[in-house]
Amino acid sequence: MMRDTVQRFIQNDVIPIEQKIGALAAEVPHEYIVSLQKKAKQMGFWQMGARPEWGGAGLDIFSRTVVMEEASRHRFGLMCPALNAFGQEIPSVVMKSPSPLNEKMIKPAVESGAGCFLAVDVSPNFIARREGDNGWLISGRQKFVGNADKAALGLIWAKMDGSEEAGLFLVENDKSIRSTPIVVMRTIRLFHVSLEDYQVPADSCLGSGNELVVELLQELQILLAARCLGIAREALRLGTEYATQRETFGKLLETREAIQDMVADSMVALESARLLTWVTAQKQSRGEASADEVAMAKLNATETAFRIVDQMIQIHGGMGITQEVTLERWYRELRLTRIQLVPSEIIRQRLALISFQKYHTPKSRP
Amino acid sequence: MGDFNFQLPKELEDFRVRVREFVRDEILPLEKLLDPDATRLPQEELKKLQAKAKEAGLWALGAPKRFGGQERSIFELTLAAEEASQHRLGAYNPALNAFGSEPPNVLYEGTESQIQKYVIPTIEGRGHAFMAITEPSGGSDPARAIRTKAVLDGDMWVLNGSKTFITGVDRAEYGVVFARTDAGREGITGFVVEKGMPGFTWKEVPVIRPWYPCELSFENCRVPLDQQLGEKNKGFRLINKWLVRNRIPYTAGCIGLACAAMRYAIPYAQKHELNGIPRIKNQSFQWMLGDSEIEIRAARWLVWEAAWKADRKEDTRREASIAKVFGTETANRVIDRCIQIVGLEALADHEMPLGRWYRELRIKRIGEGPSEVHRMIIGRDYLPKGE
Repeated sequence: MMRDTVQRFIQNDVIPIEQKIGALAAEVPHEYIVSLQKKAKQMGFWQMGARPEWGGAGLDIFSRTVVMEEASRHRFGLMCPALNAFGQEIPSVVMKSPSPLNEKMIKPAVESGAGCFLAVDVSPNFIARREGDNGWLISGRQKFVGNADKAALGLIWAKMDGSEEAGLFLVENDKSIRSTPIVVMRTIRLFHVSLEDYQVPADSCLGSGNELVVELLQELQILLAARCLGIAREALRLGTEYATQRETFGKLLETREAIQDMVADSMVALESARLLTWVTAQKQSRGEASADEVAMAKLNATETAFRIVDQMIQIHGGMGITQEVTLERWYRELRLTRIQLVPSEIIRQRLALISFQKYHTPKSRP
Repeated sequence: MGDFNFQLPKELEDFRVRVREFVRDEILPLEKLLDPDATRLPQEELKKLQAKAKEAGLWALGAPKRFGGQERSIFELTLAAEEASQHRLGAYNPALNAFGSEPPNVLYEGTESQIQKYVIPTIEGRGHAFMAITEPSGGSDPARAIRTKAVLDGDMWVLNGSKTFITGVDRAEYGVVFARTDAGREGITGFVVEKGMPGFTWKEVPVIRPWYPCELSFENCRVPLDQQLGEKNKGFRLINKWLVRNRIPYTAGCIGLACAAMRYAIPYAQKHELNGIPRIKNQSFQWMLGDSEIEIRAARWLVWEAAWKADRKEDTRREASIAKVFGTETANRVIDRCIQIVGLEALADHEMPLGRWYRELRIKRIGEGPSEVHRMIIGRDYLPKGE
């Protein structure tokens, strides 16, 4: 039911705004987002993962995955699902933080919907040094961080000086955090975040060891998979529709077997990717999914979406590369997703190694 | 074995190296000063660059000798195209236009006054032309898709209709426009249309690449009779003449970009680690580079074969299609792999041109006939005779 409601919201409230501002608009004017957010809040769609007592929707990860696919089915949907109508996501690891931070930092961030930037990579890019008994000094830099200009909060993964471990630090995104914009693929604004002896209180460390980061990456990956599904579905819809209208050499494209193959293969790939994503998200909701299962869903969804968009561009011919049709935007934006969070190659290697390990255990039949 | 070998004759190799060195020494330094999404060099800089190209003997490579060009063979133009594309703006502005622009080859069949008015000034570097075939109704199939109409009214042709995805209209002074003067394939005629002619308007069509093509509109655009190009209703042959000429160097340009992309990915992979090991030692990346090397070489041979046959005046429709599909698809695969090897750094517009080439190369699988149409051309030869 929630899925249907979000679908209608995208159809009736989000897409008309995109149509109004036109295909060439670089971004959505702020006042539209404000009015969308107001409406979404009234419907109870605010901060899907945040605790209800803070004003969030309090959904589990499976429901968020289902909703996210719907929220992404529009032009800006991959980078800005539902045009941020539901507020920028704040990761669950933040929600579990110790209580003094809750009142001071997290609750206002949930209310504002400005979100949290993530300076987390395959390995930590920051160093945290102890400053007396009650604080840390964080230094370091990381490229390609999203939302670093507007986010209320930031999560920084830093190696803890004098220890082998790294800790995840929750910080307020104030002026002493420098963020320099980097334009990627023409329209995507990411940031180079750099900190120098940035002072944070002791309780800003949410925990040390890899566990929190693994949990964070799981959440981000499954939601990214969901976004890719939404885009793939829209692309397939556009390509299928176009094939029923376009004639070449005296015949409609829909009558050509090679075009039928593209559409059919895309349907199969999309349905399979959704099943894997949903099954994984369900396990995640029960706390049973391993990091590698989630990564598998991410790998599959990002690569599937990419192939589907590529084929739908091909069906469109010249129209497919115009900015008017949006496929070109997704073709650019999706190229990041096969590298972001965990690159496809790392996922493949880990999956294979885990599989090989089973054969190293004697007398077991995997 | 006769004299068959896999080595370019010295003269061709020298020519190839001359273009390569010009790009390396003159183009690459200039580009560092341009915006990453720039589409051309400022006019003043271009004039200086063109003077250097003339001095290096790299001017008007393809134009006929009788009009002041070098009349290089398709094979030589193919060699030049692979080298001239290997820089940031190279996908659609090879060598930054240093070697001058040729008028559409169909104009070489024009009347003496058309030659004097359009061909000579363009070859001398005082003008640019566009070629307008594709219409909103389709580009793959010009014989059917051309709906722009030309009707004779006294001593004027009156044009009505529209064209789309036409490259270079913004910088051109004139172009060749194909319109319907009768039904069917033998009912298309070419016209030389100037940009200021009343009833002719144009606007850019924003697309995935930085240099936007244009949409043209003709509303009772009156074109004098002497602007008709060639015989009435014989335009389809001209269209083919143009398409066949361009297809092979077009593909060579894509192969050049693939080579240039490798030159970014390999040193990056040597210097940067992923997960604690140098990227170059990661077998996934090694194989990506290996596959790219294999496919680039194979694509080059296919392009060379097509160019060689074209110069021998053989029918090259199949060879050109085979080379075009494989060459453009190879270039797309190679750029995709190079981006994967480098990671997000590859996509930052101000750092590397890989993201730009990725966007531009995506068009190459559609422009000059999409892969599907070329596969059709190759595959239909297997139909039983008469079908």
